[in-house]
This record gives sequence, structure tokens and C-alpha cells, in this order.
Amino acid sequence: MTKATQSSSQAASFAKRPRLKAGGQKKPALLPSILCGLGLLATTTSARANPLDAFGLGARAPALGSAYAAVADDSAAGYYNPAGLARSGELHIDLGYQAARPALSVSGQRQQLLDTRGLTAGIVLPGRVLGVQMAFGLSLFLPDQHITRIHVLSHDLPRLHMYDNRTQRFFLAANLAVRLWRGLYVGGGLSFLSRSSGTVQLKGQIGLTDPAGSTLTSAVAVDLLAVRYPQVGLLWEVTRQLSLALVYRHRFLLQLEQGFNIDADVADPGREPVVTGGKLRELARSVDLFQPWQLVLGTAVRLPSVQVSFDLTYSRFSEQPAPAATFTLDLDIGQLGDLVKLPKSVPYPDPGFHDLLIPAVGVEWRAIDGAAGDRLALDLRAGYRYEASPVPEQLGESSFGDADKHIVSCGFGLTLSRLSRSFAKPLSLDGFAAVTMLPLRRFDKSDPRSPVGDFTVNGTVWQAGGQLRWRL
Amino acid sequence: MATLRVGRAWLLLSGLLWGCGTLGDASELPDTWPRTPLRGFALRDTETPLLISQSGSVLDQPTMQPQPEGNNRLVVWGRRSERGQSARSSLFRSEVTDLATPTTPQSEVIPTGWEGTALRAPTWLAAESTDGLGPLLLYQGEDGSVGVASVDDTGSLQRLTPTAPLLNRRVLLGPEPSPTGMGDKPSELGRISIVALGEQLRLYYTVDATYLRFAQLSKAGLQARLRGEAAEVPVALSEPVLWASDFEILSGRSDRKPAQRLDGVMVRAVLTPTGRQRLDLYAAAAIPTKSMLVAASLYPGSSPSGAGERFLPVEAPLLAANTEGEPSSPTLTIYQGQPLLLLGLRQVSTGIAAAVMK
Repeated sequence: MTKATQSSSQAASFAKRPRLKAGGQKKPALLPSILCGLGLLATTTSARANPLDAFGLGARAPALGSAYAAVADDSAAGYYNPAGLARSGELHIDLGYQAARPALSVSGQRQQLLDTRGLTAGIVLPGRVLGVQMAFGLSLFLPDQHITRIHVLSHDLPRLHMYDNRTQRFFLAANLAVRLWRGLYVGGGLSFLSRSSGTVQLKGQIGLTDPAGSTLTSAVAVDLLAVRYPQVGLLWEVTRQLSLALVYRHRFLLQLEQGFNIDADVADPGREPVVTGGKLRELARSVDLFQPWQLVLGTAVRLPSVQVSFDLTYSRFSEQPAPAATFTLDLDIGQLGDLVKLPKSVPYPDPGFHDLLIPAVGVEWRAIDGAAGDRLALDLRAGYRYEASPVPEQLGESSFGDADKHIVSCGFGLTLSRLSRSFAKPLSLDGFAAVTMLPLRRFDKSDPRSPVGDFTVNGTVWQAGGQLRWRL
Repeated sequence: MATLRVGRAWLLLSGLLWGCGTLGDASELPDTWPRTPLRGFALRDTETPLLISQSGSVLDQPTMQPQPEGNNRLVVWGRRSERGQSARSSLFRSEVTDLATPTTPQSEVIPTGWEGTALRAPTWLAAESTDGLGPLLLYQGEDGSVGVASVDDTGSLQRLTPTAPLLNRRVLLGPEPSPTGMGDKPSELGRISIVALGEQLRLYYTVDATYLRFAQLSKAGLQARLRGEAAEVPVALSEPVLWASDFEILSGRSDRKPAQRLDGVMVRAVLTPTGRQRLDLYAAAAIPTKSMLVAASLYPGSSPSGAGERFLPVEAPLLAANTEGEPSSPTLTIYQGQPLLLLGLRQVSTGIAAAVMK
């Protein structure tokens, strides 16, 4: 029996199985989680995104080219399709590590980019509430280096847009999935991040002829505000051989606000103020870590010993705002205001990104089944994903470097059954390696005086990871 | 039992999470994105800015001898004159072994024959553009006429136009009166700079330090002249392609004035990373009280003759505005993979200084 068939049969027999023998002990842990999840859903403000779009989550899904929407039944479902959480009806604990190293060049010169590496972890808690089969899942990607890297550059500074800091943030998602009908599951939840809003306040007197004679007191107030964004998924086991999936991931945009206020008189010590009650207000608004909303259509076909999955993702990149900071300045210094010319805040042009259709295909083959006394099985996996570049020509001031991406992946899954009394259920060890290839792309500038000039982008991104998956 | 299993699993999970930790820091990654070398230069060494100098001499108009690929020699040619005697000048050659080690001219070529009392404005035509003649050194004589020479590996110069210039002053000025309206005063031909564009060669120069034009000749015509197969080289003169007043000089804190002089021009043909050709121009622009280095650029090829191909001035200064001394005659080369700007710099003495992109 292939792994895929196992999954299918598990789903089909879900209602028959004594799902929670120790249900009285588990329900108290599950119920608060579910209630918590429902509460979070009710307070949703805006929506989703992360390094997982680039590299995937876990070890099985990236090996399948991230064609996983109709396959997901483990904690990675929290990213790929929350509906899949309710599919297996088993308690899952997944723990792994994954890393990606970009080796990208601009005009033949290797760029220094940060690796993306970190812990992947997740849990799926199945249960029943009011007779309805449900599951709650937590999925986490915790980077080693930066929990979140905010890197807002001036609009004219060049950058590798998709690998500068898009891949440098943590991912935490809580999802709830419900079995609606036989073979039909729906799931949804929230991903979390924090944004900041802060102000530096200075009050006092500013020295007119001697700035060092200023007497100012300062106060700093910064709020770290929670950002939540939802994802929902639908999974339909049409037959034991065919699954269909539909997933929606909402847009995510990190907005940062930094203010700087001065309320002061302008005077030399012991003299009459030249300006009384002068005010300067500066507000910087930055936009970073944009991820488009996505609609994923997935399918998986299970044949004897082989499973083939296919995902098609629509990514709404055309909503990408200019990734830069805007400043607003307001100065009130009475009659002296006419002497000071403040720069006006210039709106940035629409960067003109393209929407994408991203196909992905994955194949999983049960190479060894039932070996070592029916205790060992081995799956071999391969995948391919094509992601065109959403970045348009860069003829003007901005220089967002990017190229099309061909992602080729492979991996394995070693499943060990009945290891001990404690591990009676299968324990899976998954590994994957992948390479993202960016063929050479040329960017011409319309103005020969451009500080950046014409440039090319090409390179590779190497990825690898492993994960242990327990079923309890 | 199930609680025990879950508890054990959670314990293991939390232990691994705890052990993972963080390895990050807040250091900024260096910006290694290549930039066009049209702005943002600063003297490499502000304490000892002169890379090539000689006591009692004025050294300027540097140009780099082309080297075979992979050869990191930096051989500089330029103009040398005695201090206070700018009308009499020669060419010097100096090999720089290390940018941190100042040096002096190592050999000199003095004028003879039609060249009059002055040799100036050396500019190199790379071997790829001379069809077997090797790299050629073009230079100007006293009146601005242009001659050609070859240089062997030891630095010894052999004149290829010993009896008459390649391009006479009258040819470069053209039949029309100068648009600057200088009247009876003889027009001043500025520093020449040659670039190859396909089968054509363009010799850029300023007239009366007011505007830039070029003389276009074919490679075949040059070769025929140097092999003695033709007495003259057919030349087409362009309209002005850049005016001094296209540049603005920062005078005082915020006052900008149009430049009145444009001189010391060097033009460089660049193949961009995407395979397009671009011409970068480097020069000194000046008002009576201030001189600064400037740059301009254009994409050639809009017309076969180059008519209408005007340089677009870069607003930002080429060399940091707070540089001490009076800069002149810039030249750009790629040395050890990085843009290197050499220029004449007048401080206590006048010599060749080096600047790098900051």
C-alpha cells in the first residue's frame, strides 16, 4: 500500500476509528485551542505571506515542488491547505530544520545575501466537538538569524527584490479544520506578525547660535502591534484516488510608522526666544514584506505505488506597493517659516508588478513497502515548480532585480512503524534538497546617466532540509 | 498513556526549541551592487593625494596604456611641463606598481617637427580597433593637430606620423566659423579622446573650452593612412554635442551657476552588462572662481553618423565637491576590477592623483 493510499484510507475510515480513546483527557487541551482559534478568526484584520512561499515548509512538501495543497495531512497543512489538518485524524508532531543559501549575481558580481535557515515545527491536534470531527494545528518556522528583518531602502537603491528580506521572517500559523461531509474538509486560520509604530518626542529649547546649548528632554514611545492575516482551504476527497483542493491566502503588508516630534522654543540661553512654541513633525511610513494574496487550485492523483500532485497558484503581485519609505514633514516656526523650504513628499510611481500563475508538480513513489517485517517503507519524491518573475522592466529610477525561477527538488521519506510501545504509530524521517535556478535576465535603463545602469541578474538558490514526523 | 506520550513529545519539542537559539546580529550587509562610475568619487588618499609627481613640474592629462587581459600593470602616460611654462610640454610615461606608493615620471618624449614646442593629450586606441597595428597612442602637437605613435613593451615610442599630422588643426576646426563667435582670436582645441564604435572612430575634443564635438573617421581610413596607402583620412565633423553651460557649478552654499569652460575631456566606450554600448564622458567644468569634475553619458547608435547624439550631463559632481585643490583632466579606467579615476590635481604642486568610488 502506498503512503498516498494509506492517507486516503485513513480519511475514509475516519469516523469508524476510536479516534480518542483517552478523549476525556485530551478534550480539555483541545477545546481551549479551538475556542482560541475561533476567537482569533473573529478578530482578523488583514492577511498572509513569508519565506515559505519561496522555499516551502517541512521536508515532504518542498520535495514535491510544493505541489501539496491536495496532499497535506500533516502540520505543513497549516501553510499549504488548512483543511488537510482534519484529514488524518491522528495527533501529529513534526520537527525539522531547513536552510536555503542564495548564490545570486548582479552583472556577474556575487551579491551578499542572507541565508534563510531555521527550525520547522508543528502540531496537529485532532478531536471531536459536538460530534463534529475537527483538528487544530500550529505551524512554525523559526529562523535562526532574524525573527523578522525589516530592510526598507530608499526607492532608488537597487535590491534583489525577492531575496533581500522577503525570506527573513518567522511564520506562525494557527488553523482550525473541520470535516464537513464524508471526504470534504474545510479549514482556516491566521498567521501572525508584529508591526511597530513609534514616536520620538523632544521638548525644550533649541540654541539659536549655539546648538550645543540646547536643552531638550526626550521621550520614546514604540508599540509593537500584532498583525494577523487569514488563510482558508477546502479539500475534497472525490475518490480514494483523487483529491481536489482550493486554498486562499490573504495579502500581507507590513507597515511601519516612525514619528519624530520637536516642541521647542528657539533662543540662546538668557535671551528672548526668536521662536516661541515651535513645532516640527516628521512621520516616516515604510512598507515592507509585501506578499500578495494567493489562490491555489490543487489536485492529487493516487495510483498504485505512485502519487502525482499538481498545484496552480494565482499570485496577485500587481498590488505590490512601492517598497520604500515616505516622509511627511510639518514645520511651524511662526514668521520664520517663510525662510525654510521643506522638501515635499513625492509619491512613488506604481512599481507595476505582474500577477503570476505558478504551476507546481510533485511525484511520490513508494520504492520500498513493508520491508523489515512490515516495519519499514521508503518513498522517493521529486518536484518541479516554475515561478515567473513578477518584476517588470526597470527602465527608470528603481532597480528591483529578479528573474524567473525554476525550482527542481527531490527527497525521500523513510517511514518506520512499530518502533516501540511508545512509538507504535509510524515515525517518518523526511529529507529534501532543491535548487532554484534563475536564468540570466537583462535590465536596461532608459537614461544612460542612471547610477545603477543596465544590469543582469542570475544565479541559484540551494535548499535542503530534514524533518521528523511523529504520529501518536 | 496517551497523556504520557503527548507529554513526552512536548518535552522533546520544547527542548529542541530551547536549544535552537539565535545566531543573528544586526550588522548591515555590504552593498556590492555595481554602480556606473559617473559620480561619487573621492580621493583615495587625502593626506598624500598625488600618485605621480615631480618637483618643479606640472603633470596632468593622464591616460592609461591598454594592457592585455589579466595584466594588472598600470602604465600612465600624461603631459609634463615646467612650472610656469605651460606652452612648452612633453609626454611622460610612468608605471605605477602600487596605488599606495607615489612615483615619478620614468621616461619622457619631447616634441619635434610639426609638433612644435608642445606634446599633450595622449589618448589610446586599443589593439582590437587597429587591425594588427597594435595599440596606438594619439596625441596633440602645439597647435592641436593630432599625431599617432606606437609604443613597444619597453615603453619606447615610435612616431607613425613623423612628417605630417594625422589630422590637421584646420580639419578639426572645420570650414565653418566657430559657433562661439570668438572672432579673430584663434580657436583653442582642447584635449582629444578617441573611442571606437564598430567600424568607426570618434575623436572627441572641445573647441574654445565652450563646446564638445567629434571628428568621425573610419578604421579602414586610419589604417590606410598609417600604411601609406592614402595621404589623408576622410573625416566628418559633428555639431556640438555638449556645451559647458549644460553643467552647473555650485558657487557658495546653494547658488548654482552655468559653467563657462569645459575642458580636459575624456570619453570612454563601455559595454554594459546587458551588451549595450554606452559612452561616458569625463571633464572639468569651471566658472572663473571654481572648477569641478563632471560626467555625462549617452547611448550611441541612434544614427550612423552620430548626428544628434548629445551627451546628457550628470547633475552630481564626479569628484567630491570638498576636494582640496583644483582638479583637471580626469581619466577613468578599470583597475583590479574597480573603477579608478586619475586626474590632474593642483595643490602646492600639480601632479596625478587617484580617486575611487566611495
